[in-house]
Amino acid sequence: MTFTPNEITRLLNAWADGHDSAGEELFPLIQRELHSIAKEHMRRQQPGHVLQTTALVNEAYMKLIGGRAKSWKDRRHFFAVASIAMRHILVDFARRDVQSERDLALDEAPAIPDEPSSLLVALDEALRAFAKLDPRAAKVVEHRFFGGLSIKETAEALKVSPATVSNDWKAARLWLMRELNRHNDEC
Amino acid sequence: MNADNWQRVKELCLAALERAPHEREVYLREECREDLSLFTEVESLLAFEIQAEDALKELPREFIAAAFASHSSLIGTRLGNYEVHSLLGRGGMGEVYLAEDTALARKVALKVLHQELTRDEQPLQRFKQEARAASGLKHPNIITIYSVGQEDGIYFIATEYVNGLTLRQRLLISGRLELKAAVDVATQIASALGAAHNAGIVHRDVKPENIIFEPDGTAKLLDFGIAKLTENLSSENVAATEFLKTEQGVILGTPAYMSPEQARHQPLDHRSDLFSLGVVFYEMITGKVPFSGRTPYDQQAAVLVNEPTPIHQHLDDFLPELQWVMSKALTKEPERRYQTATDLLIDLQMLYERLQSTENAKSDSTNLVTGPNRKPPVARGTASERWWLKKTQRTFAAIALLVLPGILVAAMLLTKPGRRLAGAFGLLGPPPVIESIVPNRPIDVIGNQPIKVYGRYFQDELTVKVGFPNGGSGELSGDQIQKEKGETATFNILIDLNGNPGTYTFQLLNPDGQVSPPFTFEARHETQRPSINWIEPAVVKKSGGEQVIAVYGSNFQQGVWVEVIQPNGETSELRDRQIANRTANSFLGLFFFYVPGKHSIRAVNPNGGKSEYYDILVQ
Repeated sequence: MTFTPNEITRLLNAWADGHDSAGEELFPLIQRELHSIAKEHMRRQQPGHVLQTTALVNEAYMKLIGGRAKSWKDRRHFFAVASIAMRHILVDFARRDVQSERDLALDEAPAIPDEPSSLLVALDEALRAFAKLDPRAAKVVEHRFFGGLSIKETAEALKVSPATVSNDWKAARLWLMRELNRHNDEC
Repeated sequence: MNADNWQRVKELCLAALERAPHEREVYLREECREDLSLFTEVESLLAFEIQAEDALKELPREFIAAAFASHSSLIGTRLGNYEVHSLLGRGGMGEVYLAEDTALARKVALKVLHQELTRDEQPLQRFKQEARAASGLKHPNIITIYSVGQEDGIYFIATEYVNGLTLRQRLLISGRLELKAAVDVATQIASALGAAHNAGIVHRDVKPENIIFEPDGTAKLLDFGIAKLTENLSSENVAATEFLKTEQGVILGTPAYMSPEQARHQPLDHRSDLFSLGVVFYEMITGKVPFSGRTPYDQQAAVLVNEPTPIHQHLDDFLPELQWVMSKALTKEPERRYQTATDLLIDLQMLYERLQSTENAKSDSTNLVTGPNRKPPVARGTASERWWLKKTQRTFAAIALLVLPGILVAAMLLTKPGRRLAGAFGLLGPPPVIESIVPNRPIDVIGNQPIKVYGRYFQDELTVKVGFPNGGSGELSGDQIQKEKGETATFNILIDLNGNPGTYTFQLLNPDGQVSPPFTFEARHETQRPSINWIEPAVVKKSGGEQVIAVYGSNFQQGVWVEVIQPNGETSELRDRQIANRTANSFLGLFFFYVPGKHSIRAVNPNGGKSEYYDILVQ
């Protein structure tokens, strides 16, 4: 399944207009691209900033749409989809990891709750709950944390002002930190 | 809570955050009036202000790498005695698995080299080298290597498995560490580096990803993947560095944590690790690396050019000792940096004790410490003695390098290889020579007087004979001689002349039997007046900034302060909180230099005694 940048742009627009099937085509495409970029990075074994979510998402954007994007809108939609794709990849991995750790440790004490995989799974759950209270702020977290987008890029993607993003980001982290600490206490 | 309530809660949280902490409660009470649940809800969120501020910044890259890594075929298979269970992480050279040693029924971390890489000689060499380099190291703060093996062409290293978080993960969760916890971690890693360096190993990649914690808080240094044995002379290092640079087009190391010499691809030694540890220390405390940039290249440039924001600008309190450790570790020139991990370790222990005592003094203030509460290893002597001792040792090297580059070259040529050669052939070294001492004015006969000796061919374990004015003689012993190991051009003496003025002589005796010509100096009564013998740094590079300066001398009383004459003739004073860590022989001062030029300073005791002026050159 290959698409031209124009087709990808069309799909992005369709997805943004509410056509979920467009998303179904886009996600695997973007995820595959993210995987291949990540693999390339790992093969080159560049030290340092390798495999930052920011770099992955931006590079995927350049590869799939590149300089051909007609408007900021394309970029905006791409970032939104890519952030969700990143979230899926990372959280899926974290869940598998937590599960295998549990399988392994059946006869032992439970895994440490604040290990990164568990943390991510807990964050994902907390974020779902938070999205019911404040969908936009939850999107902000998704874009910032999973998509690695800057305040400015997030503002672009969500069509709000950077100040709003900044406020949402602050409030969301307060809420999530409280929630994660509760989760930790319970474990 | 429903979405509408949340909007109100959110609004109040954001508004409260805009206000100073002490104004918040009043503000919220006013806003919430009778609505107690609204009030408590907002309060309970604001309690996470600090934690939230730095939270969710970035995922650890090993985690991202692991998430993207294709499913590995090794899980469920056996390698030698090891049963591979799951993937722990992925690095540049290969994967790390959780495995079980079936013979010993213990868990191990199994580091497996990428199979593609085993075809090339270079990475395989590096991999084997890591094993060789690190397997000899036994230290509580270094991950223990159990075994190294090869099966069906798969190369692996089995190490101790630590079921804990890396420092990177801890920072991800909490943004930064409590100051005391950060000092504790840095102390542990300095101790680990000391052991590695003593074994001739430079780690070269000290960073939060490579530090992992046991559940009890013990920090362990991981991944000697790019460590290098330094027992061979540096020409080989140059060649190796060149090779890596040109053949692979990569610089080994991680830009934000690299020392300037590493970023420049220059030959490097153990002092490079101390710089990297300084960066990690800074990040633990502030949540930010001191040298940052958008891309790895920008970061490298920042390491080479930028000065970090002084640490206390990130903190509520000014701690001169902390500023001192930080600027000493993050100095760009290796010659002016900490010279050994032990020096850094001792300063960190001092700092830890200082924090401990401040905390005790505050009585049962709050539940401050979250980190492990282990006592730092005990060293000999009182705190201030050790502080002085180590500081003077370092001062020595630093000033020798600034003032006497010629002697440095001689020293480098004459250190280890020279001595080894002499030992092997039973040859004697050249006789030691004293060229000058500081202070180069009459020395006070009362109290401990620090003296710096400059010269050539000083060997470790040398003896200092003192000739008295009455014709008698004696020998300095124990802590009276402070000499940095391998340093041949300078050392320090702490001497009390027992109240007898007149002409004294020093004579040095190297352990190989070679004796120096006598060196004479005058002593007289100078009591009640403080005196400045030397300061460090003697030359301040940057004007318009603040700078911690160590002042060495004698007769500094409790409450000593400093008078500064600026280049334009105006005077200013340094008092109270700008002076710290005072002993009779040294103190630290926080100076502000607004203009370049000669600044004259003198120390003033509360009893009115004043020292001579001493000049600081600000460039």
